[in-house]
Amino acid sequence: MLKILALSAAIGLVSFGARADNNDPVRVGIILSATGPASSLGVPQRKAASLLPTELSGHKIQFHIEDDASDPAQAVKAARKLLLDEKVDVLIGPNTTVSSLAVLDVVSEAKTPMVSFAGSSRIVSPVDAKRHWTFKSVPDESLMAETTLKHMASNGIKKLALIATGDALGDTWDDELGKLVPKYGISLVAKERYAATDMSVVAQVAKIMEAKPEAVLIAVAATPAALPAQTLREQGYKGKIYFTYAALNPEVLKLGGKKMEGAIAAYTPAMDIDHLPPNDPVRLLVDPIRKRYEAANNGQWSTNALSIIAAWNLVEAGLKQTLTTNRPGTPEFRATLRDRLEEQKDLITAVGPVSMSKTNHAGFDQRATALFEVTNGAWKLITK
Amino acid sequence: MNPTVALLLAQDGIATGAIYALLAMALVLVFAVTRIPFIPIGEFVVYTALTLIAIQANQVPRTVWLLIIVGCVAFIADVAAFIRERERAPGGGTAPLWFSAAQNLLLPAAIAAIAMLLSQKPRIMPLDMLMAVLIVVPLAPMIYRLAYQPLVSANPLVLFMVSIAVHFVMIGLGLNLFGPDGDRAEPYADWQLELGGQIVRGQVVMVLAATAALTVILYVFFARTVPGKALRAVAVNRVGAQLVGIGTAASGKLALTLAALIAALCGLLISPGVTLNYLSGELIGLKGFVAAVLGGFVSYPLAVVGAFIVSLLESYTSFWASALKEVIVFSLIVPILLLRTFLSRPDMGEH
Repeated sequence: MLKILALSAAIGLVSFGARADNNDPVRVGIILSATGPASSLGVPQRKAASLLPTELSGHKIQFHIEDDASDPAQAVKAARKLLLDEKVDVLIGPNTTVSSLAVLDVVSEAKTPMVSFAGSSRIVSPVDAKRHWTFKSVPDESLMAETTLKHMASNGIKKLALIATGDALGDTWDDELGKLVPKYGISLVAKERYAATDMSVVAQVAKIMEAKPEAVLIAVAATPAALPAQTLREQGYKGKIYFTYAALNPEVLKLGGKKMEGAIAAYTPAMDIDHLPPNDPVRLLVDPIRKRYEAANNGQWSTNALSIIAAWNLVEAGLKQTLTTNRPGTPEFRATLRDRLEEQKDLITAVGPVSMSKTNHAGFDQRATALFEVTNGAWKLITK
Repeated sequence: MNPTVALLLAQDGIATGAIYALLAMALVLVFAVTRIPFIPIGEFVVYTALTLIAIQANQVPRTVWLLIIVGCVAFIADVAAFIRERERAPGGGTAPLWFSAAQNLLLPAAIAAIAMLLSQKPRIMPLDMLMAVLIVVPLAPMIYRLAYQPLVSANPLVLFMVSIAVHFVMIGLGLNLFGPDGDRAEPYADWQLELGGQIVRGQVVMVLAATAALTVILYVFFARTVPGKALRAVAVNRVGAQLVGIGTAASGKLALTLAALIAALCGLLISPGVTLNYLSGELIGLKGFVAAVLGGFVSYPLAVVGAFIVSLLESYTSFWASALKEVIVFSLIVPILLLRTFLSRPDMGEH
């Protein structure tokens, strides 16, 4: 009996000691789509999340990872749990645009900084009362659209056609192109829509070919993007095909096969990290994480992991500064962290250099963009 | 629109229409015999296609395990029903149990064994296709046993709700079995022909040929064979058919198996042409359903006509106003349905 008491006392001492040593852990909430239709993004991102450091400046970092099942309603529930019950110091995610937009209210109510790693610019702009606490680690579509259009203009393309799915992604690209094309002397000669589950896009492609465009942009996410490219080539289209970064996954290449050759898309240079110079700061940052990721996943690397790593890069930089002045777990800590995130200048993240400001909570510029072309069945960096 | 484009759109519409027509016929068949609006038909299309894709990737498709598990559950249900029956009225042989064991345990085990045996062998496309059909189609009678047989005399509304439940269960299982990503099978007809200046894809020719062949086979089956005639008898009058010894359960199982077989063939036919994921079945099934509704859910020829109306509408509206395609297709269906309702007496209930 005495022995047990002594033992439990010892255990108590040890655990007390441990607690005293790591006073005030930093609690980080992560929301991503580990299941559901967007799980091809969420699964690699979850794997990357498990590789994030658990200690920073002598403080323990506790990660609370929640799955939103690709459903905005679930994302709101998860955000409530993390922000109001767990009282996390910062929220990373959600990883999809719809979920990120859905949690904005909860985040501003909880006065906790959030770094989304989804695409749409609507998550962080305009920086109003609702988006005061919100940041984003993925470049805006407009930046990528501009890079894509610049490439078209420098290749003498005057007539562009758009084929998109009837969803938020298609709408965003439609809007962005409408705004940007006059600047590059390009006219949008056809705009066609289809549903991701459609069995055929022959009709839409026929309509596009009647307009005789010199380039076609396919604004479709993931595997359904292969169908229009294939149909265009089958119907004898000879011009250039452009994709958006939403289609940059290996499955699309596999599905499209030879008909994808020569297709072009804009995304961050880290997409094809082996082709960056060895001393490139982004490469120096991503390479070690990539090695660990590959070691943990049978040598497989997924570029979908970049966005969550970039979100962590931003959070880490903010935390380092905030931990010197404030105690984690307090409202002041969260407010200071938000201010520090907004002050980051030329911070290198896995997606590219970031300079935040009071009006720009994404902070990317042309340095975060690069063009890729499908050569021999793989996306290869073409220009910088 | 020039004539070339018009022909191209027609070709595309007819190719999709053939698929919708097959599904619509399968739906009419199931409804006539069992009064079940068989919503999960689209899932059978997708399951077969994705199973074929897994086989072509030298994997043992995970649908094999589903087949074995569902088979075991169906067998347990049969055993429980058998014991209950015994307590109520002792006597009678154990023949039904042996039959159930053969269908629900032995058959899935045999199919699983063959699938595993063949998974590392060089691929022969017709064999892979046959394998995919063999794995998916036996699920249909098991689903009938578990979901529909206990409700055999329920009205179509209850059966409709059960169908929706089965549909969502199959979608959920599909996500777990095949993952979220879409994929496409290897092409089985990688050739083209030229017909009056129009390029016709080999796949389109094959789809049309298969549809025509299947229609003839179904006609012969219903007109000339005993099981076919029995199904027709049940469709005309269930109680009468029972009185002359045609079992309701057996005919229901047969009808669902036939429908699943037709859906599986659709899956094989479209799998190389279009990227399918676990969710794709919903819309494909819905279009077949709409076509069947246009045919009043009773007439095969009208269902086929309905299928081609839907698909041609789809094709031409995709050209004219692609953003409004579904809106136009479905809003044109409303007046047709209203017209049908005014012209005919309600026919969805009992005969």
